[in-house]
Amino acid sequence: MKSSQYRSANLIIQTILEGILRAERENSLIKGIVKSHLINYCGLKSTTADKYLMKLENAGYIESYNEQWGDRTIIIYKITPLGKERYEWFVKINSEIE
Amino acid sequence: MRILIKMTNNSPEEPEKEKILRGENESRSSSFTKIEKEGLFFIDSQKRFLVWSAILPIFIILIQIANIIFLIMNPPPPGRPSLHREAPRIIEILSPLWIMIIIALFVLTNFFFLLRWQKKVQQYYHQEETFDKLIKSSPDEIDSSTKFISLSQITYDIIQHIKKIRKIFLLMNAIAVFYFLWFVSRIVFRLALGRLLFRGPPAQFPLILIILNILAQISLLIYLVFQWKFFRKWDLKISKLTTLEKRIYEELEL
Repeated sequence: MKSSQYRSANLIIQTILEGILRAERENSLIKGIVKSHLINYCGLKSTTADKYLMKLENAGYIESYNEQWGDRTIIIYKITPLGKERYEWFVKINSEIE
Repeated sequence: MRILIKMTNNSPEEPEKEKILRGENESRSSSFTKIEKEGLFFIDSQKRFLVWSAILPIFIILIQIANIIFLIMNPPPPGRPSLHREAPRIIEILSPLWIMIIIALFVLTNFFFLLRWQKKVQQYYHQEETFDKLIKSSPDEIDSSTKFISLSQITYDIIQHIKKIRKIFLLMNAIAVFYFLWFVSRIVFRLALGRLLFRGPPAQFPLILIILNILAQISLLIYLVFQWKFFRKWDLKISKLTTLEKRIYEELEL
């Protein structure tokens, strides 16, 4: 496996985790971020986003729950301690040897 | 526009939201601020380093332009060919040109990257309000034309850039050795030889240009040492990052 392949996948993963963390900071009323908002923030196609969100959820990096939005149900994603730890590692690696 | 706040009033997860509303989400909020601060500090330090990386070689480029102008504008005097005032050979004119091209390539690559990168960094700083609007907007009314930039994207951009300029940097090391040899053979050696054989300094290079070339050599050496240290740090960083990326890749079973 080439490191560039890890890199492109990890860019998406880190952006998703960052999007959730950012939303949690900005929005004090709900825990997490609405799926469509997250997809918009990451600039992903919905099929790609679905693949990564499912993988992230299966790995225990994020969790989802449903909310009622009028007549329909929307999905909200929130980050788990494991997901937060992985994002923190990513930031720390970049800043620790400065 | 319906905002998300309204929606959450009917949510089944009321106790959790109450906790959040009571301020128990403070740790979550401040933790991202802390992470973001670290990330932005890293970006700032990289920005400063890249600015210096772009400015310093400009001095060396200017010296090479002066070298070329002097070589072209000062042919040997007409009449009997003088042993210590030979016409510059083509290789002697091409040498400062090569030095200039490689260093300029390195500078320009860094400079254009900086311009594009700076735009993204500015966008990141100024998108707070847009992001706030997005997460409070109705899921049905998302403006998909708005493009966001993440801290991760900014970080990965510089990683990609460093990988590219590292290759040009290796060329620059070779050219620095070449510059040193050219300087020694063209200026120092001839100066010494001219003094020894013809009892007088060869008039090919004025003293100020010799001094400027020496300064350029010294600054290039210092610059290369700093760049080596910079790339050494990046090698460590990239190897750690690759380990983390592999781990995440495996954990996610991608």
